[in-house]
Amino acid sequence: MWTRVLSWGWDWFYNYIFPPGMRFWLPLIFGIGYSVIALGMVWLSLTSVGSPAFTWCLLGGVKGLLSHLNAIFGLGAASKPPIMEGSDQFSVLIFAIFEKAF
Amino acid sequence: MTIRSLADMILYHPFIRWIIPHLEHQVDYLRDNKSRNSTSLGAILLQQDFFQLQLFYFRFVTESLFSFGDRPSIKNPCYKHEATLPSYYMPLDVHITTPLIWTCTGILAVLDVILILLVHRFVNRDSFRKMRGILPLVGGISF
Repeated sequence: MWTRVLSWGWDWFYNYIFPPGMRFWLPLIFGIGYSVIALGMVWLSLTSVGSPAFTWCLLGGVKGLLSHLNAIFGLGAASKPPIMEGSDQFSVLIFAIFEKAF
Repeated sequence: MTIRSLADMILYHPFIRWIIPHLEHQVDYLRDNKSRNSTSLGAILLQQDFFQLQLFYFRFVTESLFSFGDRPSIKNPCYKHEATLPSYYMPLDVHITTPLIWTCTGILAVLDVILILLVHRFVNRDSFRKMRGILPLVGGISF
């Protein structure tokens, strides 16, 4: 999945925010990294009070916010790729919350 | 833009035409599985969602972001250019505008509320615990 996504978007997006040498390692990094995050989310969902499924979705939104904060302000995901020129960074952040919430 | 043209743009959007039979298939799957065994509808929903709705989101987001507003038209040179290329080709002169992002955010927010309410209704702590092994795997694939 990640190989396909990163290959599809490499030339017009990921190429601008990741070093070229990381191209073939990124799918592995993304897959393992998100698995570890999901593991933590499962643990937090089960240890918290209330519906774990609801907590899972809530944590997904938090994850989307944090990952996109890093992508936008750390990697320049909303400014470096030409396709993102002129887009509002705040709107991208809000979009990320709802994108990852479920 | 009139209401009629907006409605046409939504109803005849390739994504809408793609998702309707897909959703029908999902409903059939849920109904069949619920009648065959005692698995809760919510557990099926979550398993289905984490595998397929994430894929659906991916397709939705990409299609919405990059084709929303570019209605097929003979006068649209971008469309003529795309017609000769595979569907995954990304024209280099497209830009994601802020109104487009807000529109997609609104649609996603509505979908999220519906799906979260369904999950909240059907997935209890026990059924979530049964899925704790598969969620990291699915998260690694489709987050």
